[in-house]
Amino acid sequence: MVRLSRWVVDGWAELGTRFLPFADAATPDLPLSRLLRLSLFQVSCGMAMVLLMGTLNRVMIVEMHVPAALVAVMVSLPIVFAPLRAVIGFRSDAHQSALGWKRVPFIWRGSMVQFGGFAIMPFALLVLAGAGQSSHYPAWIGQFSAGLAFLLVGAGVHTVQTVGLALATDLVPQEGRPKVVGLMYVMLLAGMIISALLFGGLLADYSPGRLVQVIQAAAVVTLVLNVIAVWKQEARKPLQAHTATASDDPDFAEAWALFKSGPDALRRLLIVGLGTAAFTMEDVLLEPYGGEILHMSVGDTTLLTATLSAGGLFGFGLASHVLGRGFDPFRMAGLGAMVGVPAFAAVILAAPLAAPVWFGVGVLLIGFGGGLFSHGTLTATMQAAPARQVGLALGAWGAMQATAAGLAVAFGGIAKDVYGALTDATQGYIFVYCLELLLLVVTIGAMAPLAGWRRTHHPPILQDQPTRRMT
Amino acid sequence: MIYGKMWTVVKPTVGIPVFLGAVAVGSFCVHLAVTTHTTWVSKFLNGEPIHKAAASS
Amino acid sequence: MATDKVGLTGLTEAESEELHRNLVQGTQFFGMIAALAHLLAYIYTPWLG
Repeated sequence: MVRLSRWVVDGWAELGTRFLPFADAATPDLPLSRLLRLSLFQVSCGMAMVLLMGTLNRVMIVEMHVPAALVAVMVSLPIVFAPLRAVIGFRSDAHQSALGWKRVPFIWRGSMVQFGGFAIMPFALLVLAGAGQSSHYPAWIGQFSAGLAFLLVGAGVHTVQTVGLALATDLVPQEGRPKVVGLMYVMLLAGMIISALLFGGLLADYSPGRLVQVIQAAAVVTLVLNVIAVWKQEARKPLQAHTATASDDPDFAEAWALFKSGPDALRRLLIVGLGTAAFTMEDVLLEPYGGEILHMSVGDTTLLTATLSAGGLFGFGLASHVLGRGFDPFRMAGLGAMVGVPAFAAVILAAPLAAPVWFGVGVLLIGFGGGLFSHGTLTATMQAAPARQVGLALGAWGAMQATAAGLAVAFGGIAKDVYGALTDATQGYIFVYCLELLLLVVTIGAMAPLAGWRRTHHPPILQDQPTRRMT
Repeated sequence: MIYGKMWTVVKPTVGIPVFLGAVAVGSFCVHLAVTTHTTWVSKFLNGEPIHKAAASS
Repeated sequence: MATDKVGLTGLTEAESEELHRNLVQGTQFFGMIAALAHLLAYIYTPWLG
């Protein structure tokens, strides 16, 4: 049994180094199997995101006949916790523990909270829909408990992801971080794709019983994946904890002031927000644009999601490869934003030209540019994070990223409807895409003054790259 | 906290799995007993609709 | 320091207390979630009736 699992891990690792660009992220102290294990928390986060944003969104409206506005409110509830990521990250930096753990307690609690949310969610949703005999009870019970379930899951995901990324940053030395970021993103994407397919298949013939089974299975899977992910990853440092207890204990305001005083810290955060908003605003508009305006079939529009993911995967792979050789991550993010400009132009032009091919190319490029951008900003955040503020830095990045993404998706949907109602449907979509184009230009403009953008900066590693590749 | 010093005597690597395992196995057994000794759970899981009114039998 | 006393298991008293606090809080949270889930399940379809 042990030998078999050994063989599987070795085989997977070998397969990884051969085919996956990020798989050489392993270092002697941190073998790939351990990194892959750590990245499982991203799979559970991806699963939760798909369940909340995709599967349950559809099931509640189509199968349970909950009013769409109520569903939208419920699904967007977790975003209220997104800005708190900075606080969560800070708390894990400052966590004082006799056991000498900073990250593990938070991941454990986050997993518990996420588990709890999923545990009550199916019943809460059924009561919310007034199914069974729940219509005899006041409506607020369903609304309250469904809201609570979504809040718990959201809080859990935000905590686990923030602190998990901080743990990854702690574990991996500076030069290995770009590849770890790539690995984390790929695992998030993999978790989302796999669980979307699984949930879709399992809930194909819907029944309340099936819903309970699927969501509670997701709860158990969350707990199992996260426990496997952090098992024996973080070294205990009890001695350090003892000295820290005696020394000064900065509160959040002080820590934030210190973080803010870092080089261009606020500008970098602003760029993350702007760029993320630019790359995610079209998220729910791509498929209806393809179907409604370009008259693509349902199968073709579903293919769009795959195209977007493929572009993203390619972006993550390329970014890991290039950044691993010492390329400046912020320039990489800038290049991603620049790829986005022709991408959105192609998407916009697809409507007047009635050319779905341009649309497909545009979507692929949006995925690619978005991949480069997110990879670049996260890697830059990790590399710029002061050793004692890793959690806060990643929390601030995550807060900005998640808030911007959530608001942008909501705003994109509303703006398209409002502007589309004022003019015509096509104009509504085009309006949002133009807005994204504008945001990208602003992002690029905001990036220009940052170090490493204007002056050409070639680290020595980059220069001997061709010779190394030839050998 | 009451019994807080327990883990200086009981090894956590033994005690925690025993405790969590007891909770897990206990609740699993109760649910299993309910499933095997009544009909309404399997009916529900097999997708039978639930009677909307309080027409209990 | 009393909290530095190492017990039979190699854990100090402070470590033991912290472990216990986490375990108890986790159990309380789990219990509350379980109670709420059962309450909601009861509201959805009162069993035994």
